[in-house]
Amino acid sequence: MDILSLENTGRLYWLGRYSERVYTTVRLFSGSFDQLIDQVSEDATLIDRFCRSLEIPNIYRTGEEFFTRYCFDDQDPNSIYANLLRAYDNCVTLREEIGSETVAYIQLALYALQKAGRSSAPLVGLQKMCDNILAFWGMVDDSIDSEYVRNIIKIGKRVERLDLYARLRRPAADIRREAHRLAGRIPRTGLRYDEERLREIVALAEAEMPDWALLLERVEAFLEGAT
Amino acid sequence: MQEEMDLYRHTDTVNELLARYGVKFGIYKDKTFHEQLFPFDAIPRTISAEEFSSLERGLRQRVDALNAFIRDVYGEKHILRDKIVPEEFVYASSGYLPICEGVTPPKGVYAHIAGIDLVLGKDGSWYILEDNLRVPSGASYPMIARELCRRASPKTFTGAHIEDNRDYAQLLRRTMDHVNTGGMTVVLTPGRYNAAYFEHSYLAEQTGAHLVTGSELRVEGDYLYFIGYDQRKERVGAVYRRISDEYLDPMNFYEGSLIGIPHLYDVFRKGNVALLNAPGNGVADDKGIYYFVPKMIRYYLGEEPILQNAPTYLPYYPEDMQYVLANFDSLVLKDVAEAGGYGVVFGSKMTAGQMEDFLRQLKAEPRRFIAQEVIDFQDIDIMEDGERVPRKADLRAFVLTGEETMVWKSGLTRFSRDPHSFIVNSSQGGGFKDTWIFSR
Amino acid sequence: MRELRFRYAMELRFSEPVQEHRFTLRCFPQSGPRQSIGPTTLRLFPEVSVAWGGDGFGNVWAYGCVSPPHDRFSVEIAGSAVTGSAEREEALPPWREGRFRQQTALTRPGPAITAFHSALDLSGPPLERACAAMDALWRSFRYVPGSTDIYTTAEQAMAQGMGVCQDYAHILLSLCRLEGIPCRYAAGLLPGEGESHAWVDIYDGGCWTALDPTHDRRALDGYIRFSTGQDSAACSISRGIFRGFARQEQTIHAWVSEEEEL
Repeated sequence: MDILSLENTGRLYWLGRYSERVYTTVRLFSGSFDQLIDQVSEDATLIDRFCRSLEIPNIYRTGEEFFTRYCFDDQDPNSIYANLLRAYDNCVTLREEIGSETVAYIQLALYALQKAGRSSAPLVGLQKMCDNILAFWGMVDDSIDSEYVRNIIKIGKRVERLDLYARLRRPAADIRREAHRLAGRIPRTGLRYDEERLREIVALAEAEMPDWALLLERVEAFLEGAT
Repeated sequence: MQEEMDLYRHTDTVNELLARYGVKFGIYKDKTFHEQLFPFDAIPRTISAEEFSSLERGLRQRVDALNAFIRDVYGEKHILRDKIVPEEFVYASSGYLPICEGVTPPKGVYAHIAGIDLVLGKDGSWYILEDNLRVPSGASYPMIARELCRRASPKTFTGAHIEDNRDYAQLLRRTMDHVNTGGMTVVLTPGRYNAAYFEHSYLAEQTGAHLVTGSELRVEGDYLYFIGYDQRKERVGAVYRRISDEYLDPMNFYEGSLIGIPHLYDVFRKGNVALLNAPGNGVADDKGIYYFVPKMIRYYLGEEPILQNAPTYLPYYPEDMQYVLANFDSLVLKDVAEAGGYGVVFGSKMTAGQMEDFLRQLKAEPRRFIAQEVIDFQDIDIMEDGERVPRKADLRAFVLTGEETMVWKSGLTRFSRDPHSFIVNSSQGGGFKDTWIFSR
Repeated sequence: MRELRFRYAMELRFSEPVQEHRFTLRCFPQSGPRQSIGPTTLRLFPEVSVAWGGDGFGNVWAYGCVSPPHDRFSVEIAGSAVTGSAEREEALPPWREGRFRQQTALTRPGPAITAFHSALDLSGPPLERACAAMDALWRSFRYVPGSTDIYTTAEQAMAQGMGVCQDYAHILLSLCRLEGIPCRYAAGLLPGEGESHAWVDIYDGGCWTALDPTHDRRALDGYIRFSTGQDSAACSISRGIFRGFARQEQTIHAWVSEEEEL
């Protein structure tokens, strides 16, 4: 079936965004998590820098607290857990669009994260969660027949990645690559979008010294009308 | 049976797989929504081919009579003229909707999907406990459990001659297609926070129907449309709705409903969309009307009922009231307005004060109650901490009416985990089993 | 027999614009043994197309949707009618009209109605009993505009001893149903100018006969019927839901006369 409601288009997009947010923040910060293992003092610069870049309040007093709350606290709206739960909430309403087998991997990622939170070696558990998200992306490519559905999820993923890379000041080459991937995907979706704005985003990303704040703003605003 | 034993060893595997696929039901505790896994017990209920064929005939007969009754009640009302059912049992029933008067649904089918609850008595015969003709749920659970049991323990099923129950989606699809008035088929859910949301989404996926909420559908003129992205419209010909009657259409039913579709009933009345099940069916699955089903079978079909009701008394009739008062301790009393295992009380378990209150209510509003003999069910074993222990269990059989009346060769067997409880409703903490029908 | 022209205008004003405004209108008299309706015109503002619905028991309604934001919604129907062409109208056999014997949320009796009913000495065929109940009601109930609203139940009106035509009708329905007489609410128009009117159909001898409890008389000449139902809720002339948090104000102007309208 090729007709999709506005609601479900939005859910597919946000499923893409949240699953990507969880995956990339865990991947990029496993290095920082590693440093936190050694950190016994209350030196909070690392955490502070991290929170500022993601524009989330630094409510964490110690490295350990940051680790447990940022990853596993269901009450902290900025935690990985909360973001994965949002991916899950979108996912379970899309069973007939993306299939039970695909939904299962987000479900499994959630179980893995819950289990990691109870474990003494949470990094191993986070790895399992990431494995399931990767399997989810594999299922999206492999088992969803509708190109439209696939494209919407991927647009969400690409927008989120570009957004995260820009926030976290990834190397310019990475950002450029993500901007091009997004620009290449969008015309294939059939979504309404403003070509001028898309060109602007690509141009911003290609600049010698990218204007991060502006790029972020443009990316955020880009699909608002469409979703 | 040795093969069965292999499956029992894999109970945990099956439960893990059920968790993987999110086989859950939602409940509200302290006003917040929780999802719970529905505990699965691997020991199946088994029914022989011979026994099932009699059950099948009995269930088809019953559902045919119920459909005939609903058609009659909202049409010519011969059964009232002939005083088989007293008028007030129909007109005063909360399930009777005056708005349905004179409306014939597409192809004349009212109860497309019926969930009939039965128990097996110690005397070896089946008793009907309840007919569910509105939005019965539960078929998805044994359906997916079978899939996963076969995965977890293939050799259990090799050469076992068990009817494959995974065809439920095809039966349902045939039922929906039969009444479709032209256009797409959708499953209408109240939303993510409904107890049976898993089932709604799973049945949509398995039947290839579109899962929708009310806000995605819209009445324009004489038709119902699905509104796609960019306002593209597609006509809808059949709605398998999992929303109860009163919330279906705020312009024709409960005005405060936010999950319904305004004017849906107007389109239905014109015959331009099929609603499965049809609104108004509650008049036939009322606990008070239950008493009359055997009479309906004789009246409409001219046949003797194959399946029996649990012995039931209607305090509405003075002689039944006398019996109820004289045998109060041995009876179970049900409030006809309640569902889901609520409003059920056992005469023998009441304190003196409760009994006094209850009798006062009973005498004031005799029509509100039915009384039944407590059936001595056959227990079914479940595995608990590696041991087999007996528990109370019922069976919900699914009967689908499209071009023909079809009984699904399986069913949802629910059991009570509390050894002292007779109430097996999943909203009260029970588990479920697969139901195997042998093909020979 | 009386030939009449009629016009019914209803306007809703919203305190701020609303959208996705869905409406159902039940103000379309239909021809039958007791009345015959000439050509009618319907005007809506904002102008939108309507779809027609009906229940097979003589009730017809229009429904539709005004999607764009609007702060005013108005309806006007006009036409001509011949009324009082028969005293009675054939009904379905009694077992098929049984729903009209059931009390509804609006007619269910409480202590006030039960007491009033037990003080009555009713006997004879249904119509005779209904007339006697109507007469007794008329003598003890006062017509006071604004003393009740559309949600007022028969019991509440009876307890306060006053109301408008809707309340007279609900109380008479409640009393007749206590007597086991099937009866139904009728909504429509009367000669004159003002609002719509309500009366009651009584089932007797296989026929419906109309009584107007507000005027303590048979409802014959001059009564233009829009719809019938179990109570006023089933006959509500206008029902609507919309998106927005606006307050709404309704004005109604009904006009019925033998003269051409000036």
